[in-house]
Amino acid sequence: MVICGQIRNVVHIVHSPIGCAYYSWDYRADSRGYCFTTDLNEMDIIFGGENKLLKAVLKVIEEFKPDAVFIYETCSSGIIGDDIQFVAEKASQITEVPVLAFECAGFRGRSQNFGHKIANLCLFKLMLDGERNAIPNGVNVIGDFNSKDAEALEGMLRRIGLNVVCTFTANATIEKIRNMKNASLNLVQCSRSSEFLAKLMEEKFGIPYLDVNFFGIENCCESLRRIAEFFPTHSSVIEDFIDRNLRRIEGKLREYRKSLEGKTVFICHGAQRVFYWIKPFEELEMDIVGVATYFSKKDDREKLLRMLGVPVVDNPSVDELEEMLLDLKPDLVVSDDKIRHLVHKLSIPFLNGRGQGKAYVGFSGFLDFSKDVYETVNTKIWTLARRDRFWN
Amino acid sequence: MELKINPPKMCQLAGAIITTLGVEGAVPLIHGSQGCANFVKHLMTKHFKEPIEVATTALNEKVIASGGERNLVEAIKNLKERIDPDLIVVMTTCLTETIGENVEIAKNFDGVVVVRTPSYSGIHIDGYDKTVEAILSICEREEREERVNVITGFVNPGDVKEIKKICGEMIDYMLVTDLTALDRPVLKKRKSETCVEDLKSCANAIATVCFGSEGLSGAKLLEGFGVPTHNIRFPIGIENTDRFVSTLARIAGIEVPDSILDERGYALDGIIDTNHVLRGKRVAIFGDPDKVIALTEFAFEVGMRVVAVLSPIRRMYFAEEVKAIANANRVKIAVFEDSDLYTLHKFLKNNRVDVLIGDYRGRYIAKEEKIPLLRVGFPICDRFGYHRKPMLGYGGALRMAEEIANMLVGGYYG
Repeated sequence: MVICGQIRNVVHIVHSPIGCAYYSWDYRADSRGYCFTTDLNEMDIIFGGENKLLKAVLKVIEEFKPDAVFIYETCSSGIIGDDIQFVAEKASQITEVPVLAFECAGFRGRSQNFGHKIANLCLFKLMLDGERNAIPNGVNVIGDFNSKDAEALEGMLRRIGLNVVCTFTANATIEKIRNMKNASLNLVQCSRSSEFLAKLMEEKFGIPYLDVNFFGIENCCESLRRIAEFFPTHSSVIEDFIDRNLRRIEGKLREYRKSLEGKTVFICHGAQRVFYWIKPFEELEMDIVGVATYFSKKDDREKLLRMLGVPVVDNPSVDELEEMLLDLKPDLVVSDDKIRHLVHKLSIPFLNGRGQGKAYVGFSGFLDFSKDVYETVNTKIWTLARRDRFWN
Repeated sequence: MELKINPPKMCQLAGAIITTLGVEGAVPLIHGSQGCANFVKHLMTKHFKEPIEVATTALNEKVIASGGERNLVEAIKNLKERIDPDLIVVMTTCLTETIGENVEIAKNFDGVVVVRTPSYSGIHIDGYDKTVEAILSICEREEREERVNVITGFVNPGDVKEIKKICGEMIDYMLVTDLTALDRPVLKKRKSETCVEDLKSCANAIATVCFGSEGLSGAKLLEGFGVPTHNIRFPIGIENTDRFVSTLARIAGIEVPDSILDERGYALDGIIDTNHVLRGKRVAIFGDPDKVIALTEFAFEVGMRVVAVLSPIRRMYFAEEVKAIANANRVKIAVFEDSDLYTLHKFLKNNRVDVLIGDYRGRYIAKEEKIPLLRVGFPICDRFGYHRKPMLGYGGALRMAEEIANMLVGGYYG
């Protein structure tokens, strides 16, 4: 759902009792607000929910006229053995609207990474329709982005003369996903799941991919230069673009850096993201004093430890995290909203690193990020909250 | 209905977890997939703006073949070793119920109760009701104590504060459970007025007060110990709060104290001031059936006219009671049961209302139809501080009337 929920004009039916459907409703702030569910009850669990699902799919197609319908399996529909692939095919035959079935029951796999993989594999199938017609200077951006990031990224790539076929999945539509095979290069950011899709596309369509990261000045320049190597005719435009932007943001950035220099930061995110963030914080001259990751691999954690020489833990409980934060006393915690309120409760400045409603990628994005860090760290309320015996 | 679109109901786990977190030193343990725990936790965090910790057995594919009993036993042992909670409430899920796990095995441990909460049967308020019952099953009857048990229902910390304010002035009371624990000061640990020992002594009380169907099973269980039940409507609106206050006064054998009368007086004063704005306004209400019934009465009290009500589930008495209220006010009310917000939305396109009352999921209707939404209940994730704003008590009636009036007299810009 994290991956697919953002695709435009698709109806997502969660084939489940109410719980799964309700909690994934708007889970991602960018997904747009409707919750469709077969709302399975005890009788459905006993007698099966395939019929109900088929009727539901036909009904939404008639009423909402979507570009596609996605069906999500859950624990209960998975265990009772509802054949959602069969229902999807049948509904597709009847209506000629693509219906995809995602076998993503909660008990499958160790973590959500597995679900990402399933989603990517399913969406990949959409690309198999039709012939490949290469689009000149066409690129796809694959990765975990919010829609503002995607917008900013597409704008930047357009300015250096590239044609963005699809930003997967932040600004994706079914049509755009189908056309992804027409790109000549895939730009991949973050997470293994994106790399998985890029590899599939390389095998099938011979489209190469580049690892990129547009967060932070150095990362951004480096990624743009790598793109320049791939599109040599664009290299002077790209160098020009980099120069202009560096000059543009220099002054402001110096101001923020002056205030943030030497301040400490604790990062809690997926391991891939943590790697991407090391340089940007160096650029602000802030010190990373601790890291927590979610479902990370051991070698990733060891690599982080080698690079940073600070405590690195995986999947800490609330208590463990609290202890760590109280011990390290960072000036800022960067994470996502999962731990926001714990950090607030400890009265430690907190910033959502995903940039809610904002783009943090690109040059302007990094300036916005620096501004948010600066404003967060310097809000007075944190110190007031930690001031005990204020009457003395 | 083969398809629900925007149903305003959550699974039983939501109710079970909230109830559990209202007990000092109690830990919810979800026996199921990782996702169940994460999802519910995520929703609660967004509503209460509090860190919420929930334990889970995090089952995977293997257990479907081999069963997850060992995972459950390990998880309990682990919790006891690590944080030694006063009470562990084991909650089942779709996964463990469908594969037919023997969860009763958990009861072999001291300080563990089990509640059956698969999502395919019942909704969040059923999860609440069952968990209250499961928690009260640890009761032990000793000497009678001059005290009343108050089962608050699935409500917000702000509501429980209103209940406390009233009870505190009138009678010795015990909250089952103390949901104010879900709102706490900065730098402070979760703290509940109700601990496990207190719960055990609920059997000694002179009466139990509960609202609608939420917590009624627990009250019935206490009847087995000779504690009579006073099952009344939710104290929403002036008259329903009067009923609650009268019930307490009768149980305690006292007159209603002046402080409560003042509280009532302030509320009435404020509500009367809003009359020329609220009277005649058309309103639609959705949510948990017992609260919707009481909210409907409140709406008529303040002069508004209820046009439609919606409950996400069927309850035998729901349509009947709403019709009785409609008749008493000489109007017709459209009643939707086992229904969803998409259905209500379609209805409202042809039947305009001035105000919508319900949780934040009403925002899709509100936005599209430009109808102000009075946010009440759970969940409210798109605004700040609504877990603190009461719906119950005189204070709740006042805040709702004033908030609706403010929405109607002006927008954001003066």
